[in-house]
Amino acid sequence: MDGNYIRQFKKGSLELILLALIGKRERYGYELINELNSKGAEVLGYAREGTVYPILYRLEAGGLIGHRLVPAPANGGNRKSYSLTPEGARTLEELKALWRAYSDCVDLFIGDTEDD
Amino acid sequence: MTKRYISRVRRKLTLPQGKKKEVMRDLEEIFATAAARGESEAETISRLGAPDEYARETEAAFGVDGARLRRKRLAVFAFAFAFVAVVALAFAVVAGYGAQRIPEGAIGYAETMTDIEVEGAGFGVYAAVLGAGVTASCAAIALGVTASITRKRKQ
Repeated sequence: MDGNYIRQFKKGSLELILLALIGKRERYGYELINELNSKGAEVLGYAREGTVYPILYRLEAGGLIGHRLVPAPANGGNRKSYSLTPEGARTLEELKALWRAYSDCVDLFIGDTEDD
Repeated sequence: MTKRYISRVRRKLTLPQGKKKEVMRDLEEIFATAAARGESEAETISRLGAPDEYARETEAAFGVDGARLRRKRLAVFAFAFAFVAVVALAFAVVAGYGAQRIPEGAIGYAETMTDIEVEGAGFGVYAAVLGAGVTASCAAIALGVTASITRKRKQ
């Protein structure tokens, strides 16, 4: 399959997944990448900062997530802790509903039926 | 390695000042967090991707066309240069012209040019300003041509 096509397909669902993860609880960027890789690396491919951080920037620019700076004792600097904005929470619910409706619809078409 | 990566991104990244500061801060955080976990610089860099690709993806995420913004900045710079050049040239022309006008009633005023040569400082101020104006104009033209060629190549 064309790699670029797959990449674009995954990017779309990655936004939804990130919103869902952040929606469950406030997270650091590093935690998000860790969680993605521990649970989804097989299907989604290896998540890395080069892909995830631009998506986080886009989500924040769109007003769906926000962050606060938390002092990080380990590295002597700060860490960004991401959380959903109210609009982000609304958008997440809409995207979840869309995802379910979408996959139901696709299942309908690709399903093996004998009625064709 | 880390410093070189970060400075490469800083050079390539074209964003409004505040956003750029934030992105650079995030990069420092990524490296610091990775190092605290015991990850090598090389590993962190491979997870970030090539510096210019990271810069491009980040610009795209903010909806910024970095290449276009850089061309615009170059054009503004060339335009400012050209403006200064025109002013300098105008000054040189006016001043040089004014210096040749002989006031009426001047003693020893002749209708024709004399053969007397005056030894001056060698160069005149006006020649210097004229030279500066010509140089600035050439630079402005060169910058403008560069900007338009860059635009054409991208298309």
